[in-house]
Amino acid sequence: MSRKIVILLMLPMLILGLSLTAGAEPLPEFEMMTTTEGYDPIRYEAAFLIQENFAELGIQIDVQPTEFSTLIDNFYNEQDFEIAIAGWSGRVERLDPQHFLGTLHSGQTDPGGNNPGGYVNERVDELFAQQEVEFDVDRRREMVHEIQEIAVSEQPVNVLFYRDEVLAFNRNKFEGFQPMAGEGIYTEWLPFDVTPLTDDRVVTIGTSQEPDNINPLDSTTVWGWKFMRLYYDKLVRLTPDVEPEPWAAESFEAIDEDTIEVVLREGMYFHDGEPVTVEDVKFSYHYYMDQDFAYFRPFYQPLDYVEVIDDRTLHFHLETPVSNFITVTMSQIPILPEHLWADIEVAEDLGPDEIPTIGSGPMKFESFDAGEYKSLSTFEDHFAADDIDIDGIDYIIYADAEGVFTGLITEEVDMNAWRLEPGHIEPAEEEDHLEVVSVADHGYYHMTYNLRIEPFDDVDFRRAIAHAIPKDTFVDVLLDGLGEPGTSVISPANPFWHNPDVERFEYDLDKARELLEEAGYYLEDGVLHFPED
Amino acid sequence: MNNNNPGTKKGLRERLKYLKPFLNAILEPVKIIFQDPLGIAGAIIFSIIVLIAIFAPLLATHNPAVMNERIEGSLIAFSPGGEWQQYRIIGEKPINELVIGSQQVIAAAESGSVIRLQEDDSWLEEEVDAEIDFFAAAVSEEMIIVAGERGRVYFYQDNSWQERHLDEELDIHGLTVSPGGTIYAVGEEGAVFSWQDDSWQRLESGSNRTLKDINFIAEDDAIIVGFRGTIIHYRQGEFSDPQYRSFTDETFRDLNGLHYFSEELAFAVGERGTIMGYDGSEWFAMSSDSSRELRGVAVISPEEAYAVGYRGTIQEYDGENWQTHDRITRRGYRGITTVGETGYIYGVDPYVNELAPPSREHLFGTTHLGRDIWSQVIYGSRTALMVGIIAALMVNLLGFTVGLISGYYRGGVDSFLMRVVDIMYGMPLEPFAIVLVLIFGPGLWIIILAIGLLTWRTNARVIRSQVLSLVERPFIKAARISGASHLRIMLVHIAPNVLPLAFLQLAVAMGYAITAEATLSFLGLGPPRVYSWGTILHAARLSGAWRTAWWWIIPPGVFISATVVSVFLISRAVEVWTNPRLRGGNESAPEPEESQDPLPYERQSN
Amino acid sequence: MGKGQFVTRRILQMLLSYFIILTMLFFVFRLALPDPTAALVMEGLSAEEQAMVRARFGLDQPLLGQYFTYLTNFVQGELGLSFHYRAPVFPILLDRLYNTLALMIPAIIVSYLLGPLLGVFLSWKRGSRSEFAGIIGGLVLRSAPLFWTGMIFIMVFGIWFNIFPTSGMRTLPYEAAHFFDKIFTLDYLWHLFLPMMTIALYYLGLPMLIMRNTMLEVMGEDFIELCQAKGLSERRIMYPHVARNALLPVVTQAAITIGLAVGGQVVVEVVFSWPGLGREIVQAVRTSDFPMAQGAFMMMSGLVLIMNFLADVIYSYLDPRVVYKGGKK
Repeated sequence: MSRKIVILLMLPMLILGLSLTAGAEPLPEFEMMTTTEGYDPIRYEAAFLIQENFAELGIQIDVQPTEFSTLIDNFYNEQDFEIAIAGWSGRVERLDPQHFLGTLHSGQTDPGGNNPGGYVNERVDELFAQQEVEFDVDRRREMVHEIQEIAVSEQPVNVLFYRDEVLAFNRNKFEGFQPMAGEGIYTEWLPFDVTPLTDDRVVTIGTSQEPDNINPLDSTTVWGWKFMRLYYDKLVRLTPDVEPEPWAAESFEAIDEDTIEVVLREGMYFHDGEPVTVEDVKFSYHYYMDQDFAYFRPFYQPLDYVEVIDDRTLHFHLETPVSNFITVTMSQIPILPEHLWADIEVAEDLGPDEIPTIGSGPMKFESFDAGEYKSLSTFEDHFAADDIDIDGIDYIIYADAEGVFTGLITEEVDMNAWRLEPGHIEPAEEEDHLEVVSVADHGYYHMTYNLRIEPFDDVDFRRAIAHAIPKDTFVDVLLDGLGEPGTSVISPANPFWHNPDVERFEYDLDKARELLEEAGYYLEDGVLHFPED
Repeated sequence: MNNNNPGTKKGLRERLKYLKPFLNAILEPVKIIFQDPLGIAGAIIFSIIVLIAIFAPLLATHNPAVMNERIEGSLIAFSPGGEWQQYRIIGEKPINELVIGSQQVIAAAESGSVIRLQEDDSWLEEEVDAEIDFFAAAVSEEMIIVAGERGRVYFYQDNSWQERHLDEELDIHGLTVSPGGTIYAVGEEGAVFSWQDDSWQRLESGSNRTLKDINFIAEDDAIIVGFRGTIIHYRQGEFSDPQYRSFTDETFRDLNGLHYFSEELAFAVGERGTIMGYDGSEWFAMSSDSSRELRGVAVISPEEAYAVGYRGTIQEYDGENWQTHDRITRRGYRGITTVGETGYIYGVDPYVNELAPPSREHLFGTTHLGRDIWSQVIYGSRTALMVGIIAALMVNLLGFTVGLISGYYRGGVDSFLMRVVDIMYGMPLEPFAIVLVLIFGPGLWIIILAIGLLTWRTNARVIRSQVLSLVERPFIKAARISGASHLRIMLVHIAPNVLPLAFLQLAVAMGYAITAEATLSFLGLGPPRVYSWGTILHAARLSGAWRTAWWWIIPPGVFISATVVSVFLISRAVEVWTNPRLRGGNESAPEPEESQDPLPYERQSN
Repeated sequence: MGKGQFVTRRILQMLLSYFIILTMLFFVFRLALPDPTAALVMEGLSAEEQAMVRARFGLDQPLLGQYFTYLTNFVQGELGLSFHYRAPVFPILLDRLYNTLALMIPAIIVSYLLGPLLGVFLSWKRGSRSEFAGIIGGLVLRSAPLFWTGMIFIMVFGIWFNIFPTSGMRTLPYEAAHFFDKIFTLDYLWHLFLPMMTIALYYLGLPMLIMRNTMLEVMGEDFIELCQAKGLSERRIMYPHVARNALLPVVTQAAITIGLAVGGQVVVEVVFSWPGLGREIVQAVRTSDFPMAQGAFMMMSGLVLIMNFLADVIYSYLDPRVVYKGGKK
């Protein structure tokens, strides 16, 4: 009996002892997911550079180049990863910090959410909730800055680099391109910006990215929308400074907290000659809601219904007051011709030949041959047609970036739509007829740790290894100097919201070793071990 | 084979007896190869490739995955107006600051080195403090000062270096001697020090950011710049409020370099192509033509100035605009300095030796990430041969077995197997492999599997037709009558006779497998970080550099061709022997029996 | 057994092979990838939305049901919806098939015109240095991988000299009412030249060597010697008689080569951005577009089977020695 008691008494000590030995374990090898070389050579090489540096610290990494859709699925939906290298593209509506800060919010940690690493910080959540409803921008900015400060110092996500959008155009044939953050020079203002210098009045764009389809109720890629927004009008357009500019709307005004009054511009026509009416506008918004097009859900979700007041005036009734309804929603939802769409019951089931391509935008749809070619022509009856100096836009679709670049060199195309690969930058700069523009992007590339796994749950560990990431090499060698080492999830290309004072983790392996040692990690046989207790 | 007393010598001998024809069958083609001059050529080339593969670790001069870095101290001399000289390496340590005095030119470099220009235009390197890096240098009539990490400062007095370190271990980034002869140092944590009364005095700059550079135009008029847009005017002993980071201010980027030229003109440069101009009253952002980081700026006149930085960036100012000057190199410059008719751009950052043409160091040059192509090609031979041999063996094993069984049993078995072969013929190899990769992900084994699973079809047909003709021969019939088992007849009587043909097919399959592996790897379907001739070409194409970097695409292609040619030459020699028809000419070659197969088979083509 | 029967039998065989390939393809895709929706779900859809996506791509039925739907759809020319284009696969692939043929057929024709001519020349020069050079040249061309030759052609003729376009089939934009309108132009030929020569040179070695060998063989036969004895000039013997005999294996080989070229051409289409089946299947792998990859493979393998069939038929018509033994054994 007494023996049993002794054993019972020893049990806690045993457990303690076991846990001690458990603590003295070496770090296992971690898997690092990154893209395949073919998809993005930059992220691929970056992963191996990180691997080499972590190996110097005794942390073994197994780099897993993963096919892109699998990567996204594993990372966001399954949360089946240890370390993942991914990126966020800088779309215009993401200039508002809401989206990127959301990746640090505890509400997004469920599978499918935007915070797959599982970072939870109460102060961040609190600030996030406050800034959401803060209408004073300066005060909101302070909160946004504080979130960045916390997130950078706790390192749940290491922002690796911001990559410039590097584009080239033929300076002998066209001038006037205006770059836009996150958009490059292939913006929706392109027809208005560009002036031909020769008899060739059609801008030819080379691209290796093509629309998934041109169904405004089915397309879920940037490339579909970048094309369609040229031949559909929206109530509002965003200027290069991301200010809403009345477009199809002659004016817009918030008449109370949840009602916005829009006066439609007079004398607008669809490309088939039918006039654009308030009914078309109402129809378009309601149609998007009825069809429940998931990709646009964030845009129309705040909207309750649209009411026609008279033949020029509409009232948008919101379910909840949202400060950015005009900038975000009204600048994204296209005006569709009711007479062509009203009878279509399930828009996403339309075959490629059945999709109406009639809009009222400054460009007119001409053709789309998947994998080869698409084209637009200037719509002479558009209200802003006088500001357009070109006759149309042609697109040549190439198999890959190589093809696009060759097209630029041989003057087959006048500009590219998607960034140049770093290896193409110097040869492009050397071509007399090409002008290379480098546009900062407010998107970012990051390395996210799965904080549910040891030792990534340890802030000290994350802070220590942040010193082992050769960010200057990423920029200097991989990006040909056209980019910036990463700091915060809000990029410096978004100067109003970016916090430049966040902590910096200089690349310094000795410093990293020192910090690991301070945190209790130790090296044995070249392998890093967990702290003893 | 069914010998039940394996222990006895007789059993052993018995076995050897069976082995002998096999050995002969294998040796015979080898002999044949050496009778044909082209065969010998093929055998020699092939042996070389095999030796390369075996001794790859010895032959490779570099780790094929490493980005080969170079570290050097170098400069580009120029004279204002546009006389640019060649990039010149003057030492092994990157220069952080170069200053021109009335009598001397001094460079402060990493690892505590100081480099001085000698009268014969050569440079002399001297190690002053190997523990630290020097970041800054200054020179006056009487004195040379260098400073760097951990607050260490050295004065050159009376022909020797005297240490005059700060009280605090702060890195010093900027040094200058004011027109009145006072020495100033700026550095980490907003440190500004002046050398007064033989000791360093810290001045309260009002900033806690790293300060990078200080410049005087008069004894009581200086500007200091630093990280995150810090600009401080130091006038009459007073520091202005540090100007940085607010939305209304012009920049929050790190400022790295400064030239305070006159009361009406100063430029500060920094991250992301930031150029700040000063017109005597205000600072304003100027539009720069580049987004690469700038490190240093030198003003020659109000109509001429240069800024330099990352990746060989040189920006030129014409009095109104900044424009990009053609890159001379792609190295990261750390600064620029001019006095009178002399000027230097200096640095450089350790750089990856990218796209270097073939040289003694890199026999086949380097890739766009500075990887050694020679070593990649050498290691690539291993992949090629491994895939080639394993796939060829697999192909041959499958093809041989199917061909033998099919030809021997004929009838329904043959019919069935030949239908399977037909189905195999209906699947093109590359798309088949692509589909496998889509499903199972990229890898060498997928490639081997794809080749192995599909291309045995030709072997099976060829072997089968040979077997069909053999089966009718009297000695086989005799064996049958004597009651030998099927297995025995197949293995003992038939197999040795078709082995030369199998050997030929092995060579053909290998050549084919090597090409197929290269093709699939070229499409990016190979495994990551495994060097093969195909992946080298894939990387070359992906980088876009292949248009100019001929050294990147010629060698792998030549190696593939050479290997495949050598295998073809070998197989041709064997083929001439197995199929005398091909010898051509008027030789009285016995006509081989007509193929029993109504289908023509592909020769070499696979 | 007559020729008609032989052909019928061969057609049946071909159909059976195709059916088995289709079946294998289905099960490989479904068993290896029980849920291809993973590739579809990009933006974090809810479970309900995922179910909708599955239903839309017909992935919610039991396996066997899916298999029969697959077969019936195939017969009706429905190869499914492309994940990437969100459009039916078949019309896209049909267009690509034409483009593939528009490159492949001219390339094979060129190599099978030039190759035999060179072969004749070599046999004529037998024993000389030019014969040796020709054989080695043929071997080297046959050994250099297609994509490499293509890259070098682009580098030299496309970039350095800039005399040939390096990608695509036509200078865009162009108007073409139908496919033939598209290819009967000089512009098409100009675009065709580099990729065609890349392929043609690769396949040229084989007919050249076959032609040479057969020529030598036939020339060794008695009646040629007889002709020579009669005093007919070598050239007169060479062309009309010998060549005709020697062409047989060449023609047969040509049809087989077309079958092989279907796979081999993939890489050329990628290098030259030729909008054909090969480029599409590689693209499909990059975008995880399973239906597209499956459809492209079906089409290519169908093409190969047809070519093999034609090879057999041509062979049977050309070579009187062939005995139709389809039903033996």
